[in-house]
Amino acid sequence: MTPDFEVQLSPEYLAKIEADLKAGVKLLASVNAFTEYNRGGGPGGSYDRHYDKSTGGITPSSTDNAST
Amino acid sequence: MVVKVASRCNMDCSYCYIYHGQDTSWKSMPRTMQPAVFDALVDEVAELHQRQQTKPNVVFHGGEPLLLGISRLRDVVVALVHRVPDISMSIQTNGTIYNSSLERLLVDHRANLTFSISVDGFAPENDRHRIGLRERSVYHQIDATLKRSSQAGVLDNILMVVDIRNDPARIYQFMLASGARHYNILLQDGDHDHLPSGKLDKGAVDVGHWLWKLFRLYAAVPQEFRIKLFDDISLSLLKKARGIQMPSSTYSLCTMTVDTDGEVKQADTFRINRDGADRLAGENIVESALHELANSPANRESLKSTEELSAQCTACCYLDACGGGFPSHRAKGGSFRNPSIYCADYLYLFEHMERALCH
Repeated sequence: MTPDFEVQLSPEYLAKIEADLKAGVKLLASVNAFTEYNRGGGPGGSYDRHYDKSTGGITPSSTDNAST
Repeated sequence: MVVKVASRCNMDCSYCYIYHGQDTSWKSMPRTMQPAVFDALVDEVAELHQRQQTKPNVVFHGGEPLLLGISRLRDVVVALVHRVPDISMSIQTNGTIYNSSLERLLVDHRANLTFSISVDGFAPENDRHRIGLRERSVYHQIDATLKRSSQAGVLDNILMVVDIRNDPARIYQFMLASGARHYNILLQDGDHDHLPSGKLDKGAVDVGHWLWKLFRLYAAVPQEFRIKLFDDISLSLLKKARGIQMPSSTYSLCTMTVDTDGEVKQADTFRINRDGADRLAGENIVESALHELANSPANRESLKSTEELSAQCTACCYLDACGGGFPSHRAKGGSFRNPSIYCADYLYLFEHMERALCH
């Protein structure tokens, strides 16, 4: 590992991402999994130009039903 | 849905994809959205809500949306909440306009309406690109808005654009000081045919290195705020490490833009690519049903063309975290089947974050 890779992540940060992961997995059981997960619009509905696929989320497999 | 309630801006940011991209349509647009368009918008959003059975997300945008006037904006907000009580709305502003009327509107509709400011840091960092007309700094106005909205408890989100000449430590200090609960980091817009000033060498990883330095500051200590870009990538990398697959779907998220004249277009960010790149069939919300336009052949074809990825992207181990990158940043000669101009930076960042998170 080079020095550039070295980073001390806080336990709080790791816990936060773990919580996000658990919430995401829990969502898989929901009938609204896709629409809830892929709502976009950023935090709290705020505008966010990375709503599409740039920073993760479900990858749409087709464009059968477009939602706005 | 991006609703352009005003087509002009009281700032002149050098990297703006509306006024300094390839598209010039703003010049012929009405300065503000007219009542007939607003009436149709309210009807169509309500109809869309019933048909798609999810909350619509309406972003008041521009230009500078608050140039519409707070009173007119309030009328639209009230009408939309009346028709769609659980609607989600946000205002994306440059932060130069803030008064007690706006604060009242934000407080009154806290459950439905969020407030997001575009600002790139403290004055020296912000004023590299985000300046007023006649090249004057307007940071004192933005700073006043940050303070007042934060004190009123209505500052939800800050959007920041990366300039690698800025010290990530200063950007981090700004985040600590400004009081928003959410931040997101955007990369300067451009494509393979029009590289942005901050990304002139596609093979360089300067932007990725800059992001990594900011991530190290952010993730090293407990925070009261979140940075969406980093949290989303961390989540994707953790899923990858754990072998968790999210389901694919027959749905596709699409952003529609309603311009001040009522014309319905694609995501406005395609304006960075070429003149008229966001135009669909020229349909107007006053005459056409929004749900039909969202599902129109023109929109489907357009979505399909932007979602098709290059062979390099589909073979990449970080595809789930990246998704191919922001579509506008992949454009080259009319095709989106290219890696992002920031591909090298993304790879650098993903590799470093993956080692930090998963090893």
